[in-house]
Amino acid sequence: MPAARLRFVAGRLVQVLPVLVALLLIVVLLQQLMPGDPARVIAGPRASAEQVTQVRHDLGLDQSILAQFWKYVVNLSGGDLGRSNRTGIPIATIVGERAAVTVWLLFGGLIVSTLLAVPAALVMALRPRSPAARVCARSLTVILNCPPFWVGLMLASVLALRTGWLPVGGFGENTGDRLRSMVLPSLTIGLAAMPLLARSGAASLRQVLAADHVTTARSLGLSGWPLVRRHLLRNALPPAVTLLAVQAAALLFGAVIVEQTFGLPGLGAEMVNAASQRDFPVVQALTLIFGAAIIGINLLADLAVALLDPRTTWR
Amino acid sequence: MSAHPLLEVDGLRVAVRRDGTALTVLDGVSFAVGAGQCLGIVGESGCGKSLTLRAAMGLLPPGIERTGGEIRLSPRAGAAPCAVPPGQAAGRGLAMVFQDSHASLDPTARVGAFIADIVRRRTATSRAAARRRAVELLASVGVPDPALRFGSYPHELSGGMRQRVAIALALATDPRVLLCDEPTTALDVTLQAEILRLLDAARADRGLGMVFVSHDIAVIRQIADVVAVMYAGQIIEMGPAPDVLDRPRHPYTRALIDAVPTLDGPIGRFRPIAGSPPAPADYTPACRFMTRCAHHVAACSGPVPGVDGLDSRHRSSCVNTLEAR
Repeated sequence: MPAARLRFVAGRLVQVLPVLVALLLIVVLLQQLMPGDPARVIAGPRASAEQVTQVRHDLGLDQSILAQFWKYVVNLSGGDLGRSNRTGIPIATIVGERAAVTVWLLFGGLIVSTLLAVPAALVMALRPRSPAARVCARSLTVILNCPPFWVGLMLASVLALRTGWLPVGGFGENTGDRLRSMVLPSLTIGLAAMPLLARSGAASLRQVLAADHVTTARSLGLSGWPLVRRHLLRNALPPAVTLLAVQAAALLFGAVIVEQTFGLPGLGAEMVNAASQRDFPVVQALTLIFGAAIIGINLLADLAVALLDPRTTWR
Repeated sequence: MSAHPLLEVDGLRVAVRRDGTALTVLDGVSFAVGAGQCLGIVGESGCGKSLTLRAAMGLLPPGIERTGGEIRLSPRAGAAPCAVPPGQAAGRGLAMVFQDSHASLDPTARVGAFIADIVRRRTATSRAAARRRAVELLASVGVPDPALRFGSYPHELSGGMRQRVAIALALATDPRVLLCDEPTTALDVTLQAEILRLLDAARADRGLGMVFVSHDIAVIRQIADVVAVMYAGQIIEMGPAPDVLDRPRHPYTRALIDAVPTLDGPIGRFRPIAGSPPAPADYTPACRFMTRCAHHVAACSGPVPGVDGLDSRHRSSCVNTLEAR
């Protein structure tokens, strides 16, 4: 079986290849499409027309798109993402320093949204008429309509400023401080992702609940938590995993905003800085990384869904 | 048959609640099943056969509820049956085998592990003992290579094998009465015969009471000792199988038997029953078959007697029975 699974993964990777190429093309084209002239930005406002032309030539910006694309791909294959316009630091170094913050933020958000969404989905699906289910459904509507930046500010002002338990922003120096500084951002991201997850989870649970095999399990005397754990959750999980992967893009976008709100030195904050200062190589590299991450997350979700369903034929 | 029946369904009434009104769909259904006895319930689609079993199990779908009557279950061998509240019978003496073995088994549960899980819930034995018991059960329902099949998922088994697994699951709860909801309808004729033999053997070996629902009179004739005929939410005739099937008293039973084409009958002739059964909204205390009946008389429009099936004498709700005519 493992050989078949490896083939399955390899097959999916081959399918992903054209998407990756398209992503790279867009990233290279991005430079042409973005307002402003990168050569002018790098050369500075006082540079003469000759100097700007020289910079353009040095950067290869006067070559054809295909040539630029090829050069980017060649550099990329050597691990070279280019250098920042502003600081001259290799982008690979910047990413290495900042990626961990974003990964932990997304991971924290995932944990928070799962911890909140699973019980809410269970209550809404199993006790649809209960007051608790009504409270859940209404809270989800409210949370769904709160923009993450506002939620972040509210959490910071209520939970951090009033009590002083948690930092308002920034990233601590030691592990303990860092963990504490991740709490509110994770909560913000988690709350943003939770309502759709809870709703789709409840819908998927309701569907399983109406299935004949659940009636069979009940006819065998199963009820309560054993029924939920052994026969409901396992069957309801795949749609939720798929939805989570679809939401990955929204989560990453949320990370950009949340890192900015809480002053976390992650990739999202770097993206905002780079974009506002026309640091094209950084914007390019981060767009590429975010895109690849979303592709990778969807690939993993596909694999997880296939693993969760014993009926999968590994082809 | 011992002194006490194992299962008594007494005056069962079931209603569908919709928009604040209750529509009665099962009306005064009564029957009793003793140890080693098989009651066959026969009737056309929508007459309430399956609903009767669901109500007895306490597994009615949302929006449908028991509004009257009592389900009584013998708590142990030889004891008088006592009333069970709705939803308490499943896993405590009643078990059920369903029609569609594909939909009725959890696709994510390995069949052996599922059976072992049910065994463990009942007897609190060790994992290894439960596993051995599950393999025994699989073997007892005729699954070849039971130790190998233990780890199979339902989709890896054939339809007949899945139905055997479903029977093993039901037997894992150590039931006193087995409710069978058309368990052979989805199978081809050879498999049908095998599953019927298997169920019959389980009944004989374990002294199970059995209620077997089917629209197929041939199947009922094969397995049932007592037959109840249902029409529009009521039992309209009941009695020992040979009496009901060979000397029916109710015109509906007669028509139902005649509608089955026979090998030695006239060629190319079906005798369908004209018209269709009334919708539950049109149920009245009068005979519900009246409008389709060739023999109806004035008394049919008045209230007709219900069939009290708690003993196994031959009765019919027809006020103008075929015997009397």
